[in-house]
Amino acid sequence: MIMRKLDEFSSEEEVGPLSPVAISLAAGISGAVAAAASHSFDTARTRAQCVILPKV
Amino acid sequence: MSVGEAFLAGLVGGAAETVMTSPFELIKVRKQVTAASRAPNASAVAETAPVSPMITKLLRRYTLDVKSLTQTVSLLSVLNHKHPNMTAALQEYPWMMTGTGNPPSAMDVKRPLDVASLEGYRALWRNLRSGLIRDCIYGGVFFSTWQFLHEAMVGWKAVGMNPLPRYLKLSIDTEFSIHLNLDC
Repeated sequence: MIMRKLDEFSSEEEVGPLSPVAISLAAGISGAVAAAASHSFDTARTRAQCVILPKV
Repeated sequence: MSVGEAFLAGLVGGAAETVMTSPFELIKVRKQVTAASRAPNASAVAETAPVSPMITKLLRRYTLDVKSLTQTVSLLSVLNHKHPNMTAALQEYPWMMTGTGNPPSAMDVKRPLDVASLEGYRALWRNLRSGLIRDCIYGGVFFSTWQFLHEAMVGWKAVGMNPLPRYLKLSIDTEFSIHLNLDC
């Protein structure tokens, strides 16, 4: 019941919008983390894209 | 939205992105390779010759490096007596279009129509699996990290507000009552 009550209030509406600078920084940090996590797969894909295989 | 939901949404979004952008990525990478390569275009420096009609059909505007073909033919010269015109026969074979037996470099196959005619249009979506893994991981990690940071920033801002937002006040009251119950 308490959890249902918690859901009734939206944190976004009450707290209001965050500053664009803070959001941009958060997006930049997230992008850096995601790029680091997917870097090796990125390399594998890019190398595979440069292999030419004639269809005949 | 929870961090887990954001991760799943990122996975699905990354998969959709891969399928839609794979042809553009392929062309982009090959153009980048061309721009970054120090080696001059083979046809610009070497002695070149027109290729057979079959190879022209596969890859337009491609010219053959005569030096490579001559070297290959001289390597195979011990077999010359078995074929009257080995050079012409080799030039007819698509895999010998570069004169060495290697396929053309990425620099020579960078236009979408060239990719479609030499490798087939399905090559635009080749290696989809590695692209899927890459984009799913990127999307999932990006959106889950962003959601985590967003929640943290909202919480940080809420703590400094006066009066406290209702959701935060309620959650503090709940924590407090749970602790009280545990203590009792």
